[in-house]
Amino acid sequence: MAPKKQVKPPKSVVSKSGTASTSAGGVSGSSSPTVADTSAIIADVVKTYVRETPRKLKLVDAFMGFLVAVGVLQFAYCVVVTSYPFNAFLSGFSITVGQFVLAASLRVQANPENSSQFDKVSPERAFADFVFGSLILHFFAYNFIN
Amino acid sequence: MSIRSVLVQLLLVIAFVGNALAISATGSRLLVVLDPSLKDEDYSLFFSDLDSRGLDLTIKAANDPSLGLFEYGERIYDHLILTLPPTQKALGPNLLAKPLLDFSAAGGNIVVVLNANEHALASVREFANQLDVFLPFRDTKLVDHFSYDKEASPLLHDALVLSPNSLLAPEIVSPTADDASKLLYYPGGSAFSLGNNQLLVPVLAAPETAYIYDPAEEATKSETPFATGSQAFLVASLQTRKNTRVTFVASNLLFTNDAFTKPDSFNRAFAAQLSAWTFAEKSVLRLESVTHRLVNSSELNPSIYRVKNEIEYEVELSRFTDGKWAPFYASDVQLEFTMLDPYYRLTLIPSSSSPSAQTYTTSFIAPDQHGMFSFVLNYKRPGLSFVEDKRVVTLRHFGHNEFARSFEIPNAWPYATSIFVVVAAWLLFVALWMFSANSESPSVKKTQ
Repeated sequence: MAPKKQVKPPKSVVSKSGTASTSAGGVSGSSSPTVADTSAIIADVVKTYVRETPRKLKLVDAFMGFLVAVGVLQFAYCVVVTSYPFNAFLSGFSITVGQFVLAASLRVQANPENSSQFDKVSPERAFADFVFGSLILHFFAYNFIN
Repeated sequence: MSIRSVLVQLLLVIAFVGNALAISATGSRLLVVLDPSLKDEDYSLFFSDLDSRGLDLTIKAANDPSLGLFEYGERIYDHLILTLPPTQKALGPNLLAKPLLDFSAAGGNIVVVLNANEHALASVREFANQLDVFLPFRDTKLVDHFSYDKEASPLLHDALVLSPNSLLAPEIVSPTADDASKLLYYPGGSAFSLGNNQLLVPVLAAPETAYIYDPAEEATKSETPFATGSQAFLVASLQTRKNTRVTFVASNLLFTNDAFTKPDSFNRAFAAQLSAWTFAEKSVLRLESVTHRLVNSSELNPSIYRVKNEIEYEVELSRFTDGKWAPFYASDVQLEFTMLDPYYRLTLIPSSSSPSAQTYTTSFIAPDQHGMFSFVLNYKRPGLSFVEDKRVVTLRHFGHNEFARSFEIPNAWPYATSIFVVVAAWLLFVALWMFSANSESPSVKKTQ
């Protein structure tokens, strides 16, 4: 989920600025993309992401990646070892999912690219909403585990 | 007031002393219905034995018009020995099958002694049939051409000599080691057969080679004998579900002075033990107390338990011997914890004993199944009086606050850890977000 979202904004940036038009044109021109082409695209995407994305959004992305890792680990533990205190599993798994959703919302609202769609929501307001929602989520997760 | 209270106390003392000295667990009033053809003095040893044991004998002739087992609907005797007159008319209306069954159901004990020289009356035959005892046809005899009494009946072979070792019910008649060499004389008479009634306990069976025949019609051969071998019974007892006792004896001649005084005769001890069992003087069990509770709890017999509770169950059993209640010891008393089916069947362990009772205990974890359960004690052994007890309790499920907390369950620790890790990561994220500069990326500057 997370990587897909990460890919989208850089693409639009690329097409707008036109800096990577040659490589993009090469891919669309050939009938079967080679391994070299694919890796070139990926490298370009990464380079663009690193260069163009605001630092705060990178921070959100890192946080979301961490949440995915924790969620996957818990799910694997549940499947492989035990789901016995099932409420504990639900609580632990849903805090990662919920936190991921909140972080994604924050990322959407705080992205300067989307500022035109959220003219009434400043990045500070988005962050305050995120903190408020997160605290409620943590409260419920902690209650539900027992 | 004072005189009245003194009188009450006196009555209580008398009742207590009377109770303490009682020979029988149920009472000592014994009615002997004697067939006029039988002479009282022929059975004087048997009656004096009964009398010396402390039974309160009333001997009445079978044709006595005042004969009755009930007065105003109340049982007026505790025990009955019934010998049979030759005709139904001579027995009178108060000793028909129905009054006898009522007497047994009302707590009375009965010994029916068949007359060796007369046939069994229709009313007694009906009473016996109700109990699954089938009395022989009229004028039949039990004979054994292989092990007869050579002195008493050298020609007819109808007097038998039996060994006390062949007795079948040790709880009813138990010969000692000294008795083993003695002889049980059966001076003549018939025998009866038994049905499948589980409450019947055979006491004495005929020898393998004996059979029942009609001397008048089957003198040369008997093609379809009424009963043969060990299927013909001389003495059998029955204990009803109300713990009253009935004994059938195939011949009155077992109890005569002649039989008692023969050399090496076991008959006297046999008669004493058989009548003692029938009149509830021995092998009587009593349930003194039943308690169940939570382990380490002082509340007795609560009406509700929870699943997976540890429950302790305790009973006290005593046995009536020699006129008093003594501890009853057995290793096969079982408790069942049932809801339709037994979920547990546990052997109760004899723990402590008092001078009057033996305590049995067991403890178990209640099954993980809520509903109405019963503690069932069902101790039924041949010869011993039946002990039956059922206590119904509710087994409820866990309350919502009685489950183990996740933090107490090691399985849940990874989940709990993940919550704290997420919260910690979130705090770090919030801190980094707030303290990071807003304009770091050149492209952001560009777009802004």
